[in-house]
Amino acid sequence: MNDVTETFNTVYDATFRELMRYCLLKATIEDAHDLLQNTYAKFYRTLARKGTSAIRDPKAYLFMTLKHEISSFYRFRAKRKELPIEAVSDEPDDVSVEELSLDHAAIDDILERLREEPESTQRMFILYYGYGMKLGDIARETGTTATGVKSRLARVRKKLRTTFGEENAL
Amino acid sequence: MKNTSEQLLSFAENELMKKESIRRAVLREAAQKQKQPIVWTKILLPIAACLVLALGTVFLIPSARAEVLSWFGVSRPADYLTADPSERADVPELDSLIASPAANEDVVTIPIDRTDSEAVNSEGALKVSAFLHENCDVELGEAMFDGNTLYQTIRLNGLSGLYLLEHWTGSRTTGVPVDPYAVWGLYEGGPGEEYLSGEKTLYEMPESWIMYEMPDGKRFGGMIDLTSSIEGHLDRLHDLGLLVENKTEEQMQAIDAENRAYLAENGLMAAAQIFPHDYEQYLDADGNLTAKVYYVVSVIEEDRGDGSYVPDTELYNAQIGTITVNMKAYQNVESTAVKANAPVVWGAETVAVSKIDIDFGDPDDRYEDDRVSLYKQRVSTEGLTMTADTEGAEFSTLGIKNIRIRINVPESWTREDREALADSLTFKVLLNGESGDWFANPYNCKAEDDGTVVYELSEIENVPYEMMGSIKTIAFVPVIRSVDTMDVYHQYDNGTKKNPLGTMNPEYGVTEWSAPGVNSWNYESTTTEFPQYAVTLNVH
Repeated sequence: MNDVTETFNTVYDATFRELMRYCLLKATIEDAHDLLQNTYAKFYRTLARKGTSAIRDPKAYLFMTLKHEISSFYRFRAKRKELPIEAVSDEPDDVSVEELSLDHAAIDDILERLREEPESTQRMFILYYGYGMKLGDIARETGTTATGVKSRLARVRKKLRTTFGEENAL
Repeated sequence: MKNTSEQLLSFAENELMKKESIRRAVLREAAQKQKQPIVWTKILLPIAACLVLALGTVFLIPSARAEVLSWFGVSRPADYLTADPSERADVPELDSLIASPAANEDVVTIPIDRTDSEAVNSEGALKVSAFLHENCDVELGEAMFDGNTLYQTIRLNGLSGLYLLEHWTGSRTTGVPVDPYAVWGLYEGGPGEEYLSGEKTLYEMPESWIMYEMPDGKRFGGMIDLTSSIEGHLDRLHDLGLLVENKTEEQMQAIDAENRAYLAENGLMAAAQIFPHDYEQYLDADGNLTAKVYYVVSVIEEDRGDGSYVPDTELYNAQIGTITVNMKAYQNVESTAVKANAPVVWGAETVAVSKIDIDFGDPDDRYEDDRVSLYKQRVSTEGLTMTADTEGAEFSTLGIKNIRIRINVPESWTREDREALADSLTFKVLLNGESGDWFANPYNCKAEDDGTVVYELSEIENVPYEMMGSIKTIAFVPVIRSVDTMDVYHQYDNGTKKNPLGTMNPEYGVTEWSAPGVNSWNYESTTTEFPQYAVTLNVH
């Protein structure tokens, strides 16, 4: 049991972020929590029953399991509603992560404000600024349009500018 | 850049996904199911020692077959369907559920032609598509519906299944080469210098689906996966020392050569599990569902880094046949009556029951300590009876399901005692008096408001099909495991352990303590087992 838990924790810490990204693309945050838990629970059970050396490629196993979980969780992908296109003037098409110049305190404030946003907006914000994904990629994977993603991010940036001032602008 | 990204990703991990909450939930579930890791166990024999000696200590020793099944995550029906029909176990009831595909005269293949598409700037997309076009010789196989899951097999001839095999063996010849900077976020800390420098090429792998299409265009499907039909090949790769992490280029080439040689000789039988929903509207008067069946292959999109991208995940989308599956035939599978013997009366002895409750605290506060409460009590089993409730039970080729075991405890027991029994109780399953790969999920046991403790069994798992016809008795042997000591330790991310609380020796009654809430903590325990008399069911 000790070896199993030890192995589980090692693999868990090494793979969580990758699986999380996939979940952010394919599922809601609420569903992602259950999907990840089910996936890792199956992994643990397999380790416990078969031994820690039985799974040759844990990452591949976890991804395959997660994909199965998602496929049975959602019968088929539903098209999401297109967001209304908002006029956001003077917004660059893309704001690269390099242009984020925030100190530690500002980040905490921003994250606090981000929590107040709809969960789909939180996902897109994380995928864009955290993983550095392109607008078009996020749009395709989440079933919306690039314009919709752009408008959500622009809306969040606008709110943050209003709250924190230009010196902490995104 | 990385620092800000890292903060955002940490926020996502901890605040959105509740990474530590998930970890704790998984470990907690595992601890409950395992009934604590047993370091050493004292077994106190009940009065009828001869009965215990006859039953012995039941160990579940996974067979190679069971191991492979759990490895792939597929169920027995897919294993049955993908086996060579000449080598299948003789199970007529399952054969009556199997549907064969229609003749292929009217099959229309719809390959995705990307040659004139802007999206085909990607050399990777061309490469994979060309491979699939050149090596796509697939045949629709048999299907079966067991009342819950639709199993559809597919035969991939020649190299058609190479990409599927590579998911498990780690080789990458059918992968799509991607720009490592474009997919930086997929890899912790980045894909690695060997990819960033161009020394190695980074690949993304295709995945595939079987889709059923209804007359009105509605689709439902499942992801294609391997089955135990290739266990021999994977065992060979393992024995050659090729199934390791961080493979060398030589090992990758060796795996590729082995995979291709295997496929050239055997091809690949694979299967998809489909969970159909709202399908009743498409059934004919006899319960038949007719669908066009599509084979779909896709790959994760990637940004080439120059502004272009692959706009469509599908690399291949081909109708490979039509099939008609009777979605009501499973109802005709004969279910044998299962009858419980008279209630079992436990002997008058004193046993210890225990229950562990863990309050993980505020999930938004990683630093708040978890609170642990252990209830332990001596109880007398005089007057305790155990009965099997077989109303609604199913015993057929499709499984042994829906059996409840109800325990009436003495009136002197408190609710805490009953909850502790539910937490301490597990069952070992004997079929015809013998142990084997089969087991009952020990998780579904709870104290009811009417004063009883009820163990609900959804299914006895891992019972071989070929054995079903010969099962005459099913025995559930209850075992109570009570905690004697708990060794609580704090486990750091680097795997080292620290024992901040030492070994707890819980007294009878309630013992409480706080466990560190940072990262993960776990415990080892010693227990005392109290095997009891089995309740037996007869199969008529």
